[in-house]
Amino acid sequence: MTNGSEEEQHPGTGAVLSVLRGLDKGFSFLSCLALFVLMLLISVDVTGRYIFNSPIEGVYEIVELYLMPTIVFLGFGLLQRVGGHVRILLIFELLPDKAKRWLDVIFMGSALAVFGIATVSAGYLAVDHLMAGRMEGGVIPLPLGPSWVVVVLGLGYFCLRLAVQLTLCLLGREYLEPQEARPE
Amino acid sequence: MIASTLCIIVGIVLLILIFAGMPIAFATAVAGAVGIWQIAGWDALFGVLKTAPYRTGSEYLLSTVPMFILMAEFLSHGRIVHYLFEFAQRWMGHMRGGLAQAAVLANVGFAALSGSSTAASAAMARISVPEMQRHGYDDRLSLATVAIAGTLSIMIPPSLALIMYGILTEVSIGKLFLAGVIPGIMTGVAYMVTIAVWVRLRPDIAPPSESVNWKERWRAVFPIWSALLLIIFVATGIYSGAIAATEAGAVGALGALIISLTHGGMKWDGFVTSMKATVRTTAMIFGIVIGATVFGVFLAMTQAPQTLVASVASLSMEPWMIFVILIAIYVLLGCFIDQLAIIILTLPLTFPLIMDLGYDPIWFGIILTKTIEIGLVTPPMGLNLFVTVGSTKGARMQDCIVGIVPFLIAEVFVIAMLIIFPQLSLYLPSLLL
Repeated sequence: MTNGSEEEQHPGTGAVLSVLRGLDKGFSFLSCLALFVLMLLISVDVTGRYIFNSPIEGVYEIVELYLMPTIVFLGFGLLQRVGGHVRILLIFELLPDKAKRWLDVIFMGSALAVFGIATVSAGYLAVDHLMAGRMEGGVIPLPLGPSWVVVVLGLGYFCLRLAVQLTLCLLGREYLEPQEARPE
Repeated sequence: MIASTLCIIVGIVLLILIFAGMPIAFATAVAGAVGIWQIAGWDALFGVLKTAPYRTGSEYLLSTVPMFILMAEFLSHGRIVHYLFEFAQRWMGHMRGGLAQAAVLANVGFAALSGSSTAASAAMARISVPEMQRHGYDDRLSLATVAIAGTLSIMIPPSLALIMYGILTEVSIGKLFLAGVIPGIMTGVAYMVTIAVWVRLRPDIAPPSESVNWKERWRAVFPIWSALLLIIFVATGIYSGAIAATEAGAVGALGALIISLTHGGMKWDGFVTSMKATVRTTAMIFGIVIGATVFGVFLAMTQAPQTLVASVASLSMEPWMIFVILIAIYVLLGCFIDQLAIIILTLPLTFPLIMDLGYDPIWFGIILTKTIEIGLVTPPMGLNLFVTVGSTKGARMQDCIVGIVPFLIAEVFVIAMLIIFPQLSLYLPSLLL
């Protein structure tokens, strides 16, 4: 989809949505890459340990510090984009459209407040870790700061998604995007 | 405000938010945050929100979750489910109701490879329901069979529910997996007996199919050798203690990728979709875990678990009565709330209670998982019903719901057996000691 059609579909917010779409692609690639590396790294470590008696050092630390935060936190915004969080819609679906919209505003607003605090707090800590050059890990010490930066980026992107969806919801526009279809 | 009163108020607010339609991850985080702020102030709230997401999202043990999801996604995008069904169809298809029996048998095989019941139902619905429809099977039988058989993935290891239970309660995942084997097989047999009885009483719902010769039957074994090898590798790796659950998940996912790419027919599109679906499902589960962690901190501050244990201990009720009430509540919750969410939300309260009553944690894990299995096919929120109907062209939800009733009767029988005879769950893990 081009920027023009985005602007036509969502006047006033098209540019923001285009930026978010770019972030979607980037974060989706990074989280999928981290997932693939996680699978390969652990498999190679197991194979090395049992067949060649030579495990890869620092796998545990790399998984905890970098790969898991990348998969989990960069995935939050991607999930929010399609409204993929688990929710019980039994009563919600029975409500009139206006009530649904206002409830969604309350839900997203309160979530934005809580996760906004989490993002800002984690941001301060990330800067602190980066400035102090803190390291973590037993066998191979690894820098702690980048790990927190990933968390802040992921949570920040999630909050940005929430804020944009909240705005679209208040403006009475469609704010969720359809999920991709499964290939046959 | 007294902590216990605050806990009750926040608990009620949480339930209202969840049933009003707020995403569970948001509801738990918001309710927990408000509770922490009320009881300990802003500084404590900032402290919890600063560290809780990071600690949860960077937990090594929890990397087991995306690995087993990825394994299931790779397999469901390849043709291995098709081969499993073809194998079961050639061996059982000639019997009356044989195609439905074959769907159950193929699901037992897929369950041993995958921990995701929705992946199993979606894949099997696309393959087996059209085949059953082609042979004149009643939709109530075909849809219900696929929906219920998909739940086997939640009990037969590797099971995502057992993995989450093991991580949250620090019970050995290897022992939980072993404990799930007999109940899983029992459940599969119960489904097959249900189908056999049903088609005997109503022969018109499942016309007989043509028989195939022995050569054809043995030929169907060949395409599934790689799947059998993967099952044996993952299972023996975990049960022998040679590799941890996380490692088994990673190696299993890699094995599933190789199988699906080499002779499973998975293309680049399928690979990318599997990766993206895994990231989304992982984020969904971790969202709930992070929200529940925030809420759990609030519960710990109010000492709610200890208060609950003390309150229940003061009741003049037999432990088994409390246990049965708890199980009934879990089955009821399963009708409305996502199964993994139930585990994550309730265990901080119910696990200490179960331990205080003196029950075995492995056995409780199996019973809890069984209630989850039932929740997957009970309206109005039975996920497998939606997945099966959604994956089948022209299928009607009412047919699936009506058809599920005989299977639910079988489920009640199986869960009663598991409660009355704990050794059915505990015998295999006891061999590990």
